[in-house]
Amino acid sequence: MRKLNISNLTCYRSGNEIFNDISFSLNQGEVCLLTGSNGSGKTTFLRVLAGLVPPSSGLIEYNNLKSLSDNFYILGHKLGIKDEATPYEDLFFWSSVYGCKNFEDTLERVGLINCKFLKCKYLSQGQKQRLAISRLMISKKPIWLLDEPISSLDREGISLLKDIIDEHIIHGGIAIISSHIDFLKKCNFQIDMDK
Amino acid sequence: MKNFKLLFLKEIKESFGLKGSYILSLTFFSISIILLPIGVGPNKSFLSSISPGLIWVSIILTSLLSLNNIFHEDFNDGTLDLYKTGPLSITEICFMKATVHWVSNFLPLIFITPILSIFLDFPPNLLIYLIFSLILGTPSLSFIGILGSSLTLSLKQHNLLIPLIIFPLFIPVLIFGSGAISSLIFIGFEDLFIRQILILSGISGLSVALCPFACSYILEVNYD
Repeated sequence: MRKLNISNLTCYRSGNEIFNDISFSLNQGEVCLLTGSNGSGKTTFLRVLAGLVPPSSGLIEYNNLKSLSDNFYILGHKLGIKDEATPYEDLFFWSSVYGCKNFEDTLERVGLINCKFLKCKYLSQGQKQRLAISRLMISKKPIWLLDEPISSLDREGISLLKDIIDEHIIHGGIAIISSHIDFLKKCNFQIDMDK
Repeated sequence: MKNFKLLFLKEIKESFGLKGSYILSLTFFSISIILLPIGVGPNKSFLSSISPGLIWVSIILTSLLSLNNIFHEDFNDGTLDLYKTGPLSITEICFMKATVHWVSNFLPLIFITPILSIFLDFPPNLLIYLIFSLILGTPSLSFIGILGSSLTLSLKQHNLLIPLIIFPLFIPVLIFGSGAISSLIFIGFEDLFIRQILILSGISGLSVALCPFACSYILEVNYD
């Protein structure tokens, strides 16, 4: 059984404590929900897990390995979508990188098949979020780090995301999700970043 | 290697198609070379003698325009996050970024230099040496440039700071780049040219070999 271990994770920025001494473990097929007020450190915590920001101290291990970058996919506030590219070009590139062949099915599933040749600058924020979710799906990484993933999605989009997360969990993945609203069908573990 | 190629092609396509920063570089370089003879005066022999220095200085000043865009745009829109968590190492990403910068910004300038050199009355028989020195020297500008771009990643005043940080590192490239061609114009001595070209290649080789590693370290600790 694959396991994500987080031990005594602490992060300081410019001398200020962002979060302190967070420890927990997640087995494959489990979901963790991060809650907390604005500025409580949810985004920084996810960025530390993804390896984008170095922690001040603590240990992150997955499957007893300390090299983690191959295992995490972070869906953050900044989606990395170029205005002049189309959803088709964007997903074609990332599917080539991740070795996924059926990326058009993914575009169809997230509801972007009809605007696949439209420049991303003409997409709504919700459609851009759907494009980012489609990248998440083709990445095939075992651990998903989702930072406020429903912030610009409509009701149908939220329902789609729930289903996608469920499928990921059923297939033995792990998800750590920060959200103000508990939209998940099932949550194994909850961390309140204010405490 | 496959992912490096994919990312390289994507970045090249964006540089030439979407961002179009090479047009700004080409325009700035052309205008500065065309304006210089007007400012200096019509003395042909004087213009010819200072033309290597003018071309190299114009190339360096033009490069400062595009260095801001190496990492900042990708950092601000989240693309750099995706690259960092993707299959390529940060060193490979830095190497790729510098190479793309050279291809999309310096290569067009090198192509247009033979035409613009007419305005400076540059000796046509030495044109091949000038192009050779530019091909050897300009990669160091891109690879040193990524250091400045990564150091100022999260700063708002990066437009001002990048030239200040990397300007001293560009001076040896300017000295040996223009010096090599000047030695041919003034002395006609190929030995001195070869020696300066070898030093220029050494600077470029060291920059290509070391800067991606230094840049990746900077991106690890200065990514906030």
